[in-house]
Amino acid sequence: MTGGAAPAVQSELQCRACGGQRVFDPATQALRCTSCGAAEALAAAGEGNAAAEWEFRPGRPTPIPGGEERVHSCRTCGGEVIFRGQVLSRRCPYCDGPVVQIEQDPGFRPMALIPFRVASETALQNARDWVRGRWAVPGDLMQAVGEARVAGLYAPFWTFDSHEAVRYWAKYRHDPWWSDDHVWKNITGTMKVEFDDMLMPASDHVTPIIRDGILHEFDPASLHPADPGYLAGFAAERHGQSVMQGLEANRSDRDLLIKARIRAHVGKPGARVVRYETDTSGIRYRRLLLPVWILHYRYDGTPFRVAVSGIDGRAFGERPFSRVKLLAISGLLALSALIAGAVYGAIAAGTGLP
Amino acid sequence: MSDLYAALLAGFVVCLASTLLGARAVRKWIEVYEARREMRAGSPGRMRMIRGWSAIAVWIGVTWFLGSVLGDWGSTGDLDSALERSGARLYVVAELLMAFVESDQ
Repeated sequence: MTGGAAPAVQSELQCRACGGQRVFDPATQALRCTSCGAAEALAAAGEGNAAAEWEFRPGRPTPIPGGEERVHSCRTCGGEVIFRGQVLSRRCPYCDGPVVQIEQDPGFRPMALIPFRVASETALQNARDWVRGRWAVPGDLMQAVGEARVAGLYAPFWTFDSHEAVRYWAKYRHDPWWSDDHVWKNITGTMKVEFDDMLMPASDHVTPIIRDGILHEFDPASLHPADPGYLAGFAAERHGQSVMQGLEANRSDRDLLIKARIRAHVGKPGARVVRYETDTSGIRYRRLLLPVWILHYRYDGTPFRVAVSGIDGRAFGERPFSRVKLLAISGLLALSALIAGAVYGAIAAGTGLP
Repeated sequence: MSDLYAALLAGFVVCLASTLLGARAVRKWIEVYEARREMRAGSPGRMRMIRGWSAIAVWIGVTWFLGSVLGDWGSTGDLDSALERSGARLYVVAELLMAFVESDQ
């Protein structure tokens, strides 16, 4: 399906001195010309109220994300630049010039971003080091990883705030563990839970597991206005979901955290949450782009990815396991447990221990 | 003497079975170790990765228990008495493992 023309930022990304292509340089945090090297500073963190949050109003009509193709005619070479799906920024396939699409629908427009601070060489090294540091990986894995390259992507994220008034029903074991009778005690209670800046990926490239591996600290003070200059030279994905859909995707994380808080509130070991009800209010959100380097590789026909935070270089990802190594470790541990048990059994037989 | 050999043979079979069944638990062990070291504390992703760690305790506990019966049998040469003596031990091990499973949420 081919859609209409894609309004895009391109001329503004060209060098004012020589007309060359400019890309965002993570080292200098500036838009740098690839021809003459001239640099131009971009909007600083906190400018333009970048950290502002927006109130979610459930009654509002939900915009539907467009997934059709959008075509932009390159102003440098005249070639066709096609934006498919949720692609927001890319390079012209003919002249390699950066083109950043302008999101027409304010319901999907990124509100702020954190620019790349980690260069591709560091990201590649960190991704390789992460894989190298794994236990029980196949011996020839580094060969597969060594051939892979990293790609920089501004990935779409949400932050959500909310107040939860929780009423819960839980139970815990009341008897001492050596008792023959297992008595469960039911308990109900109420509590308040505050969520602040819960990060939720809005892209298939970053799973919640990878998010928690690479994004340890999120500081709203480091948010910059979503200036197209930061995206120049990097791929960027727009939010392919409405706020409502983002909240729905966030539900399982919220559920997990609320249950953990309830167990902590009950304060008994092994407490189980039977059910809970929550009255959610004060939902606020941000639509953000966060910088992620992604290394895709294949091993034994299966695709894997390692993500590196473009903010601080922290790496986390997916990797295969070596069946032989798992069995070797398993064998060692099983033998150790068996010998420890046998020694105990032999001693117990002579001493009357249980 | 034949009881000792029988106990050793049974030990070999238990070790082999435990090795094959334990590969999954070892994988979980590694995932839990990595999640605890590398994932954001208190995050949902870390909770998901750590959940299921009790399978490791169950695997080790069951192997240890079977080893204790075989050790008793090998040293006394009396399997029936060894099984009888293991009753109380089984109860303690089962309760401990139950407590681990309950706290794994």
